[in-house]
Amino acid sequence: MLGGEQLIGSDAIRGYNDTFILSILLAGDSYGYAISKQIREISQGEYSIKETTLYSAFNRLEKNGYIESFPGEVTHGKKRTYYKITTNGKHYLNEKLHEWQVTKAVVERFVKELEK
Amino acid sequence: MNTIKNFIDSLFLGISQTEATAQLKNDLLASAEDRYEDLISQGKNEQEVIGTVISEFGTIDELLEEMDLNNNFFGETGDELAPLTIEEALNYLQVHRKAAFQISLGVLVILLSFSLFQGAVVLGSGLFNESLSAAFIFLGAAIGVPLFIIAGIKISNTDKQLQERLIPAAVKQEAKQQRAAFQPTFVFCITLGVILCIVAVIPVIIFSEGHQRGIFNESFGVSLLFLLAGLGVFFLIFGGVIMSSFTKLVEADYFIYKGERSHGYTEKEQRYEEPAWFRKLNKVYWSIVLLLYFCQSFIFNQWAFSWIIFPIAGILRGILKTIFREEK
Repeated sequence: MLGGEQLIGSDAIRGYNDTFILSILLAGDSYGYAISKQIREISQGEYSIKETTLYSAFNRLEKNGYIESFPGEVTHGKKRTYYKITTNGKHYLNEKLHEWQVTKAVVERFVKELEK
Repeated sequence: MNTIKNFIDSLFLGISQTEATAQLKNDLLASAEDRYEDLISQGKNEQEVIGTVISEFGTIDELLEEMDLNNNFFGETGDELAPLTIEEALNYLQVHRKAAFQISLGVLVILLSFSLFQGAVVLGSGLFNESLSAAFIFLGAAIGVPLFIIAGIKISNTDKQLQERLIPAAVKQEAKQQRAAFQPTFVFCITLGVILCIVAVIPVIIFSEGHQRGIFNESFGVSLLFLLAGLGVFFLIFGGVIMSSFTKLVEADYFIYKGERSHGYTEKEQRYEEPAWFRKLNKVYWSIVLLLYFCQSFIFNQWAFSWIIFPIAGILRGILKTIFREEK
């Protein structure tokens, strides 16, 4: 589970970081480390998001109005920035999920071609 | 744990400190520390944990690109521009402080010469004739205008050297402290300036009333108006110019002298645009007003009340600006 051991390259998955973050926020407001921990857990250790990638995504999502940030309660002596998904963010997540269905179907067709 | 803090500190060294970047740095640090504590609690070896946290951190360039921030800055000539040093900032503040005094003194001298001129018109009805009294105005201009020029050259020479350069957090901090120290003087200058400018109207009213009853000459009132308004304007300009020199360092991330900028516009500045003709007019506006003042005064011999053109011109300029600037 240590860095560098992850199986999925960050290039391959780059376009889906937004989807991961939004889907986690859909379940409830959260903050930086909790989100990256959940991404690692859900992917069962096969993908871990770099910290700078995570915060770039926060910045981009917030600029596009998909998430909102707010200062959270102080926990373990640290004041954390929390994020919340917006209505626009929910629409965007739906679009991304649809896009993934299409992408998956296309990639699978190529895989099936090879299996023939 | 310190290693991680130092690591993140080092990444942010060359980045201008704004609220957004400070917030980002705190968030990144909190996340990295969470990860560290998490791994330590899983019983991992500290050295290994630090290595993991740093390797999972990613590259700062990715973030900077996303946030439109850059480590390095390049001027118009393509040279990399170094951030402002404390010495340069202190020198800049000192030059502006001196220039503030020179500019306000220049205005005071010129307004004082108008005051003397008005006084001489009355007092010296036997001694001076009116055109001889006008010599006071030219004397005032001869002293006042060079003061403007000297101050203007000094300011533009200093500011040019700082053009488009990054204002680091340490310099901002120093400017903030100096601004706080200057705040009471600033309030005093502005308050006194405003009071003097308001009070300046009183002699005009008293003397013109007296003039009608044949006691006073109303030119005395105008003479006192120029004297009091001159002192008032002296304090307003002095306080205002010094204050704005601090504000420039505290509020902008990049030093802006004038002309086109490649970056660093604030949202407020981007919102409005003045049409080209208005910007051209702006450059000569006050010269035209001054010319009109002299023409009107000499030709129609209306020295007693022709000064009213200045406040009218000031208000008119404000109105024109509000009407013609366009929202982008």
